[in-house]
Amino acid sequence: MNIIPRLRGINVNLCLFRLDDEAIETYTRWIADETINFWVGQNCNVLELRDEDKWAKREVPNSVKRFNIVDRHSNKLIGNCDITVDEYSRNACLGILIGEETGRNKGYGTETIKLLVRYCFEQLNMHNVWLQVNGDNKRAIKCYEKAGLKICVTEKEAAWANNHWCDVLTMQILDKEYNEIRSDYLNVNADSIEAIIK
Amino acid sequence: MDMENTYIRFHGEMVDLYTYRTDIEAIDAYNRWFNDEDINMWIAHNNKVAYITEENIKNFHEWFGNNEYAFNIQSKSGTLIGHCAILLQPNSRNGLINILIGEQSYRDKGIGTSVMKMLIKYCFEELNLHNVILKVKADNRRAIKVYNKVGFKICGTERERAFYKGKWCDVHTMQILEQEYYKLNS
Repeated sequence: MNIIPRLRGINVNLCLFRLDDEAIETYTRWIADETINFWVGQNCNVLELRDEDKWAKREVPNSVKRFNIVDRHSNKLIGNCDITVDEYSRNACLGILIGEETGRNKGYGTETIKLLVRYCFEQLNMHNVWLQVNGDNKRAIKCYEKAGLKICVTEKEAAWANNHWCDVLTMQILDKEYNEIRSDYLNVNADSIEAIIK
Repeated sequence: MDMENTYIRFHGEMVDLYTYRTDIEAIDAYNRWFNDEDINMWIAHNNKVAYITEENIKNFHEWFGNNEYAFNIQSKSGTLIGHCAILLQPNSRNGLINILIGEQSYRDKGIGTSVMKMLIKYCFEELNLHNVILKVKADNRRAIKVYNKVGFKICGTERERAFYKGKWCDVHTMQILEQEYYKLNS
């Protein structure tokens, strides 16, 4: 197993995206499970094994940066996340999925989002970081708010699930807003880059 | 230069919507529009130098894919004056509308309103969509007025989403739902 950390957190590491069969089987298991894919916006799709294989192995442009979320304590793959960068307008769009039940309700999601947001502003020089979330997904919204993102768009009735229309929210954080709360972010990295540079 | 066959799809009061052209003459018009800074200031990636060729418009088509319906806007006398598209998300019955009136001399004549009416009628009455949205720069007051007129309402604003003319600019998302459309058009 090639677990190669890229961004180091306290409880999770964001690692280089794996494309081996074992990893792809894990992704497929997550995305196929209706208790997990519920919030991904694909719960109406039935995937075939080859679909997920194709998704993972497809050529992604340089503007898409994919990571595996790995539990630092068990060294286990627990989810995926990605950043889609629009360099012209210095915008970055985040995506996150915690696939393993063991990775839930431990603040791992918040930590992952913080690692991504921090990387976007401090290394990629982004101006705006945003994401979209189903309005019914209260747990995720709370997690994004903890990382400083604010709701800026509420599209009414934009997704259908569980026999009703759900709102789809867009949330964002600007660089200047990040700098105001940057002190909340300083304990996100296990090995503080600031300390290493000093 | 031969003009590619293009077929009328929707008859409007002021203009008609035709199937999308990819011949040299049409590509020439697209390049002219996308590179005119008075026009492209309202679209995304306005800082790029656009150069569409016959070669890469094929990819353009692939990029459009099955979920995008693109149309040319033509005047009643047959002049190509703009284009528009609907990007579908079939699973959630969502549509995203894009529109560009490229020829300056056809502006301020109510053509945008007329095209928008045709597009949302198609979205709701034929494609059976539930929700139609669009994105617009907050500075583009003329366009926002047009979208309001046909029933769109601002449902949120992404702060400082786009950069042009030396400053950051907010981008509104506007939407109209099925029930709102039928209430306005019953």
